[in-house]
Amino acid sequence: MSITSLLQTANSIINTASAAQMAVGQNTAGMNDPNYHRVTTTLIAKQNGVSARFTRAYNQYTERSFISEATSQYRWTTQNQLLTNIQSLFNESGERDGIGKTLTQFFTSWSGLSTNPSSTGSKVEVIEVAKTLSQLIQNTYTSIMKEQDDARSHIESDVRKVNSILDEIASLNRLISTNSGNNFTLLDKRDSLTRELAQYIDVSIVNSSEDTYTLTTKSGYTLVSGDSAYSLELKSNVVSSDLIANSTYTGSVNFTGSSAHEYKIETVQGGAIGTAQIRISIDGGKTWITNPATGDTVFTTTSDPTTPIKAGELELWFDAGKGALSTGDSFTIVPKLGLFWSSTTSSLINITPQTYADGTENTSRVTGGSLGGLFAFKDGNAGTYKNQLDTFAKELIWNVNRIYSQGASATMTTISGTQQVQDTTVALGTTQAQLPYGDRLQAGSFTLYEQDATGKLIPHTIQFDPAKDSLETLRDSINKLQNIKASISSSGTLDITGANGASFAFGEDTTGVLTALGLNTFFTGSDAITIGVNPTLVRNPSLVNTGKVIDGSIKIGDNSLALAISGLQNETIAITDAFGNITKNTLFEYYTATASRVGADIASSQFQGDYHKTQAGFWYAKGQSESGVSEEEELMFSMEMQNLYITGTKLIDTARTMLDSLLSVV
Amino acid sequence: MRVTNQMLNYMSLNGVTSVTNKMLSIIEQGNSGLRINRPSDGPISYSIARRYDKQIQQNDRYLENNAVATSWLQRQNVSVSEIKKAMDSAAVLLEEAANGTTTPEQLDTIAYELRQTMKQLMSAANNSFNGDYIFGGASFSEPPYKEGIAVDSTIGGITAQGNPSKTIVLEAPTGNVQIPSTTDQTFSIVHTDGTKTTVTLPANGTTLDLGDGVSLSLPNTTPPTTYDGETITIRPAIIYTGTLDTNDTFKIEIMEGQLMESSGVGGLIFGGRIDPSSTNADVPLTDNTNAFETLGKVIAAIESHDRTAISNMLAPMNQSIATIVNYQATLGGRLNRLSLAKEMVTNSTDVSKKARSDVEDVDPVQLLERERALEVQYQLASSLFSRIHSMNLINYL
Repeated sequence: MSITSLLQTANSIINTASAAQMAVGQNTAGMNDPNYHRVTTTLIAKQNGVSARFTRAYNQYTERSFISEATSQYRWTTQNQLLTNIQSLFNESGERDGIGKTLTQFFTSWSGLSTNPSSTGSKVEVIEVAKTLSQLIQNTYTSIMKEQDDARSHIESDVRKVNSILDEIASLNRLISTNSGNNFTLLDKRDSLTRELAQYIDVSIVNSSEDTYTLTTKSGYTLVSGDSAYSLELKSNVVSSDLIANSTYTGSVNFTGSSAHEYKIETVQGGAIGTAQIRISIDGGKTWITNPATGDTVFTTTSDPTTPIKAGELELWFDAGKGALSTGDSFTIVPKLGLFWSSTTSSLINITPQTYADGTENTSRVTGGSLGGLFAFKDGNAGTYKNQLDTFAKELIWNVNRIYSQGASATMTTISGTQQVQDTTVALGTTQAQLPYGDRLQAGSFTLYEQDATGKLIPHTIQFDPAKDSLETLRDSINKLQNIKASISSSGTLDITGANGASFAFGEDTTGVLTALGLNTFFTGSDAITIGVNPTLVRNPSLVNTGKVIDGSIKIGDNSLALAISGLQNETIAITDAFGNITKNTLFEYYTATASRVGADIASSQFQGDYHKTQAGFWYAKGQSESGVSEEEELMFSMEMQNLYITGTKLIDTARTMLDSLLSVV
Repeated sequence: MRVTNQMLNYMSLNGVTSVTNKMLSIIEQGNSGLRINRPSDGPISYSIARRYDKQIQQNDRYLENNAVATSWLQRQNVSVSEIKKAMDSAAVLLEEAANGTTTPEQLDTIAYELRQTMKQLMSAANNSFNGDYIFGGASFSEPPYKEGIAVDSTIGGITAQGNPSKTIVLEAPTGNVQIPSTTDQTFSIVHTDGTKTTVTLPANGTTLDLGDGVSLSLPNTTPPTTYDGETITIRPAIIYTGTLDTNDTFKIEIMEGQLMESSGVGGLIFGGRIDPSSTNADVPLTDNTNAFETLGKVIAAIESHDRTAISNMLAPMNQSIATIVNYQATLGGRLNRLSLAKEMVTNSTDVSKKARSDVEDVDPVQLLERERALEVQYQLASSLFSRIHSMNLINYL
């Protein structure tokens, strides 16, 4: 070996040691960056010295596993945080008041009134508690709606962020594939963006090679492929059709209303619109909505928007003159904000997160990230709580009013119904009448008492059939009485007035029509947002009914009605939700079950969040073990390289000494 | 396994955060005294605790109702005792009158006393509680009893008007006379000394003027009613205007599904006559158990000095008193039931509170133990964190 060779070796050693020290410096600088992947230096001995090979410590399997768990963690923690926000609305632990305690207070105030039925003070208490109860139900409902609105804003923001990240990753892919040098920083940036993306949506790293990096959702929808980015879109009230190959139908389904559920419509018997039969599901076809008119799950199609199919929260009708439906033709309605995957062919694929009634999730949709949590909260949790509150309010109003409307406290000279009828010419039991409780009406009769000259109340029986009688025919039936006259207001309510100074009172009603029309009722409204106390009673609480007409007069001391309403609190009733599902329970138990469900949902999301956090933590630690920087390791390696460098300089010194010695000889 | 700085930071922070979160929960539990502070702390326990809340709330109301029902029944008890006492004294006077040695003057004095007793009885039967009349059944706003007159005769449908100060005994015309009649008809007023005064019913008339504002309305029937010397007695009576259906009484809810009849149906306890303007059926008490009617007949018998009739009233008087005594026993039973219900509701509240506490409240000893354990855990985690981070290879270089 020549002295020159020695110098070359020394040079190689010094350069390699310097380069290695640079890598140590880079690693040390990135030590506290959780997304940093350390650079490993491998020294390779060669004939005239040493060289270093630098690689980026990256384990694709570990990263995939971490991303998978992290995206689930974000989904559940997001859902948990949103649920926690509304838990306080239902929390009645300790001394806290809420709907449950006020409901009991409402019924016990009727029990108190029953001990002193003529007491205006007790009636005022009943009214005040009822007002508080109504306001609490309304406030709870609107607070949930506000949380839904907030979730919607977050969804919009997250979708923008996702699209931005997808574009950024595609750009990085382009840079990485064209850059011939060291891509370590770009790769770290890309991994960091992928991790960030996983916060918003479930991500699967399909191919992590430098130039063919591909990301999809867990269900397989491509998000980024190389330098191509796909995008997500938000759309409301979308109807999509899935027709069989030889179907001739070219129309679509129209609807009114909104819902937190997707409605799947499937043709079970093909034919022209008007004869074809369909079934409707809100859980992707796992179960089918009951048709209240027939008791089965089949609905006959219609193209008349004035006689729509009433299913759950929607009213549906088909386009006319667009051919016939074939058995197997199906449609999906997203009557809410939906998340769609936009492919390069411009078609939109529905990937809105969907939770079935049994709590399982549609795995062909988005299931992870904050978007998964936000949609699960907005449509699944909040939507369910709102439906249950609506059902609770609807049953409370109906059951209290059903008893109350058959009672009396004093004769009246005029009364206006509080419920409106849209079409006064059609039978009140049909959907066209659009009477909130129209589907609960029964054929039978009700009693109207007319006060005679001696003050005695004379009973008159009014026959009513919800399948035949419209508001107008009912008005005409009442007008046959001598001194009681009915009229229909411009808003579609029924008004009754005593003619010639006569007064009247209501009695037994086997039909429910008094309750449905809001005549002589305690509560107004028909759901959680419209519930209220009859303003006539609020203005004059002494008019609150406590008894009924007995032997031709209203006995002030009769408390039978107050006792019946008080007894309602322990009565098991059939509670029917918007989809025809019937639960037999007391009103209190039904409400408490909703509050417990909120708690169970929070506990479940907390558990899931903790579980995935632990799993993500494990994969994070594993990733750090493989890719993270150890300060001690770097220092020791730095010392090694320092020694190597010193060795190199020593070699130069030796070569110089040798050269000097040689030159001195010359 | 390689251990990196990020791993150490992550583990240490996780450990401390986990402990502080648990300590926060313990502080909350200590402050509230509750283990279940929100539905998510235990959805099932939460639901059970709220069920107990409801039971306790309901029971509070039942206890208030029980107090009201007790007041109603005690008020009834006082009134019935007054009536019973008055009836006892009336029975003593009746026995005196039935004694064959009493003079006509003494009979008049006894009759006067009995008229006062009758007013006293009516006043007691019209007692009210908080302005509500307690013996009207479901009718509270008006006194259930008012003074009136009654007509006793084998001929039905005769009514009297006016307010005679004494019983009037009439004899109808004899000879199967038909009224309304085309000729004047003569009735006789029979006096206590046996003498008679005639009064004339005009031809085609059915209203017999007896003087002093008293008149008699005879049935105006087709065919006409036949008279043949029947006795017609116009005597004092008490008219009942309350309800008679036992289901229409004022009931108070004292327990879940348990109602206490708190008002009395006077017509079924003390009797009386039915208000002619009412559509009610007649008082369903027999003549022998109808206290007011018995008293009215006793007064009539004594005022007319009819010793046979006086003696005949002894048994009905005793049976009427027995009916009142029976009702006193019923009231006693109801008050006992109220007392028992109060005890049961109080027990139910105690049990519910205990059960709610078992479900919802925190165990202070366990809480302190957990706090101590977490304190140690926190100190250990913090100490390890600072110690590990104070170790550095640079210190040795």
